[in-house]
Amino acid sequence: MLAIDKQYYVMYNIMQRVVIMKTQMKKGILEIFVLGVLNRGDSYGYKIVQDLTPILEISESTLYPILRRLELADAISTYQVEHNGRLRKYYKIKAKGINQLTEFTKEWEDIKQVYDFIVGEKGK
Amino acid sequence: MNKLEFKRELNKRLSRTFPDNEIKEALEYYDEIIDERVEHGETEEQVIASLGEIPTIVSKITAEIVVNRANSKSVKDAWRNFFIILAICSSPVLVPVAIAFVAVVFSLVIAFGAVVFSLIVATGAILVSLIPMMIGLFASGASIYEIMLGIGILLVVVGVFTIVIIKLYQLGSWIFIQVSKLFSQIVNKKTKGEAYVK
Repeated sequence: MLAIDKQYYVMYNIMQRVVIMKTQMKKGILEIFVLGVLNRGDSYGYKIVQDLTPILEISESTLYPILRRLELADAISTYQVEHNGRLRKYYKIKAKGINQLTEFTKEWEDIKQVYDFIVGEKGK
Repeated sequence: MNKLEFKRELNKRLSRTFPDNEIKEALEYYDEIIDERVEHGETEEQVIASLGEIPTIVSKITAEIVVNRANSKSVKDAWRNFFIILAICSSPVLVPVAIAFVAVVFSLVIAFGAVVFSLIVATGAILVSLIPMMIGLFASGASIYEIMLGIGILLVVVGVFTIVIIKLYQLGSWIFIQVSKLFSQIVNKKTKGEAYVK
C-alpha cells in the first residue's frame, strides 16, 4: 500500500514538472516563432499574428510583450513606414535574433537524433 | 468600448506604474492593431472585445518590464521596480514577498539614512565652527601657525567625512539595486507561465 502511495506521489511530481516545463517551453517557443517569422522578412504586428495563426493561436496581447522583450534584448529592431495616412511599425531581425534561432535549431537537431535513435530501435 | 475609451483606460492603468516611453510604446501598438483590424473589416468594438480585459493586458506588460529592469544598474530603475513589484505582489500568493520586500527596503533606507544624515550634520557643524574657532584662537593669543594647524586638521576631517558619506551612499545604492534585483527575480519566478503565456 505504502509503495503504491509513493509511486503515485512520484508520478504526481513528475506530472507537475511536465506542466511547468510545458508553459516555459511555450513561452520560449513563442519567442522563437516570432523570430522565425521575422527571419523570413520584416513584418508588423497585425501580419505577425496572421502569419502565426495557422500554426498556433496567439493573441495580440500575448504578442506585444514578446516583441517588446525581443526589442529590449536587442534581438530585433523597429522602424516606421507610412501606411494609409498613419504609421505602421515594422520589426526587423538583428544578428542576435538570428543567433538565437540558430541555437534553437541546433538544440533540436540533437533532440532529433535521440528521436531517430528510439524510433530506429523500435523498427528493428 | 471604442478605441478612444480603450486607449484612455489602458493609459490610466499603465500610468500607475510605467514610465512615459513604455506607455507610449504600448498605446501605439494597440492603436496600430485596432486600425489594422478595422481596415480588414472588423468593427472597433469587435476588435477591442477580442483583445481581452485591460488588467490582463497590463499584467502581461508589467511582468515583462520588471524582468528587463532587473538587470539595470540605475537607482532610478530600482525605485521604479520597487513600486511595480509591489503592484504585482498585491495578488494573494505574493503578499509575503511584498511584506518582506518593503521591510528590507525600509530598514535599508532608515539605517543608511541615519548614518549619512549624522555625518552630514557633523561635517556641517565643523564647517560652521571654523570661523568662531579662528576668532577664539586669535583672541587667546595663539600664533598664526597654531591657527593654521587647527584649521588644517579640521579641513582634513571634513574631507574624510565627505568621502565616507559618498562611499556610504554608493554602498547603499548598490545594496538597494541588488535587493530590487533579487525580488524581481522572485516575482518573475512566481509569475512564470502566467506572465506572458495564455
